[in-house]
Amino acid sequence: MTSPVVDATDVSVVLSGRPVVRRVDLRVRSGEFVTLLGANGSGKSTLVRAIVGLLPPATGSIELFGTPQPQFHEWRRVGYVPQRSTAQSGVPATVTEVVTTGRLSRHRFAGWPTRSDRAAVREALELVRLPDRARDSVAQLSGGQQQRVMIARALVAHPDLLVLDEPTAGVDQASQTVLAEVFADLGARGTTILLVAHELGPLAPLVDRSVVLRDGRVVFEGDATRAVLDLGLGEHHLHEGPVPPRVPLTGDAAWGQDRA
Amino acid sequence: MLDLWQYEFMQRALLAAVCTGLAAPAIGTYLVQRRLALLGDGMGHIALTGVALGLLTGWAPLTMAVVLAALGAVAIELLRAYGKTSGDVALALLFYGGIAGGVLLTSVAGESAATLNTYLFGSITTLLPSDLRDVAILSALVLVVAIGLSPQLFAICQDEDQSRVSGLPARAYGVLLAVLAAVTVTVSMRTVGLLLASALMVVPVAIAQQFTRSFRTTFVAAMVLGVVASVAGVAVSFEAATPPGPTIVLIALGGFVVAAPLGALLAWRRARLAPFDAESEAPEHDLAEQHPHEHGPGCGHPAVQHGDHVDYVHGGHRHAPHGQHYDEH
Repeated sequence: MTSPVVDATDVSVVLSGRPVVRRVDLRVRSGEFVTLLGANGSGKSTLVRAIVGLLPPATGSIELFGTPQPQFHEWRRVGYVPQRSTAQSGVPATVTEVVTTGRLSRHRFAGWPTRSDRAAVREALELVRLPDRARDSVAQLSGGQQQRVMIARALVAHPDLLVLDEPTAGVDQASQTVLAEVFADLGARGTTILLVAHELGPLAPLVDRSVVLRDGRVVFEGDATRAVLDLGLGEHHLHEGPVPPRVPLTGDAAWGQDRA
Repeated sequence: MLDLWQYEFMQRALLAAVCTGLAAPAIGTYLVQRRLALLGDGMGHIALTGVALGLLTGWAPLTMAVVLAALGAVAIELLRAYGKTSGDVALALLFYGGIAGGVLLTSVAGESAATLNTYLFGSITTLLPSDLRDVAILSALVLVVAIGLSPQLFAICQDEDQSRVSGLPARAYGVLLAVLAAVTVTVSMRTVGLLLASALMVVPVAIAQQFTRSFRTTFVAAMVLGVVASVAGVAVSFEAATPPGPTIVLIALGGFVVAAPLGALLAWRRARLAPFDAESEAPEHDLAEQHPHEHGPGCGHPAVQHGDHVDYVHGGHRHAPHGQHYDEH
């Protein structure tokens, strides 16, 4: 039995004196696609920031690939997409330049891009369906395309675990569909995915398991569909006719059974 | 114009102008990228206290300025990273402390305001050979680090969180960048002066990014523009008998005034010529993924009346029968 990719036990995170994550257990096994759902302020973003080492946990322990996180050094195995609405900074930068920074986790000292770095960048851009934008400034891209650039930056070092913080927030439909395709590709390769999201949209069929946080605590863990429907966290779309009644989904007819 | 070279002090002035014209925008590009354009200004104020301390103790003002500015740089990075003080408030504290300390210590040292003025606004035409040597060495140091570590510095300025997760010692690089800014400001002390050093770090970058779309071209173009503005400023100040520091900065700002509308015009033209993004066109039908299951009354999936038809809840979304396929609703 291999150890889980992410093993967070009894984790609390305190931000400026306020407990934001309270005694959460989260385990992600190799090859799983797990989503963290929850309303704004539910602590989902803070929890993943603790998992990737950006925030120290106040209680509990976090293990990555079986190694306690403070002793974990194989950061190239972890790809992280922070919660940002744009890939821009104060100075113009091309898509290639931004994605290339993701390769630094593979270099110990000198960071000048090698031939294999350049090949990996091209490959990552093809994966997110942006190969023809390589030389464009990121500022010229739409919000959804910029999210894809940040995902390419996380993928370019070929991580075993991909942690994404709300990559689908405010992203156009076309990019959402591309993201779903990218995640399906990654799933086929065996990449473990931990995704923070508000809504799943076209990603829903790919998700193995959903964990729902509310006020920093896990309130639900299990089938994605149930999480979405039972807790009213799902997608919203306009109805022309009268609003239909919400039908609770019963367990015996969950999606996936007919896919087997 | 050629008779500039006849005077040794002008030769030194022009060489010093080239040094600062290269070093200041090189560091400035990273600061602007990090949205810390005013950091150089804060360093300048702190360096003033260093100069005054040098005047008071009799140690070399340049060395004291470098040391104090570097300490200030470390302090500001630590405040940003660990303290509850936001970046701009931390900068403001440096501004006030630095200038008050500088003026106070200068008066304690019994020096006149005129002495302070040569550091505040530069005195490039009074450089001694040893001054030029110091400027050249420090500029070379700054350039070697700014270019040699450019992949790492670019990464931490682009996205600090992401670079930390990829294992880069982002805080150490942040401190290094701030110390480099401090060294650059003190290098610029004799050319444009402490109060205007930050301008030479920021204005060439602001001009360059009107026309560029990559970091690398912005970086190189800013250094070229920095050299052009510095050398032109020294030459003009010689011909027109104006103070060199402010002349250099005003020439650079003049360049920005010309470049900004040109850049806006180019961006507008590029936007007009760009092909319409086919990807952003919404498909008329959002087709559900292929699945062998046929939805119908009693199929096990909850049915929901949706306007004039029935949707079936399936995997967190709704499928509506439409001919031979299902639409996503």
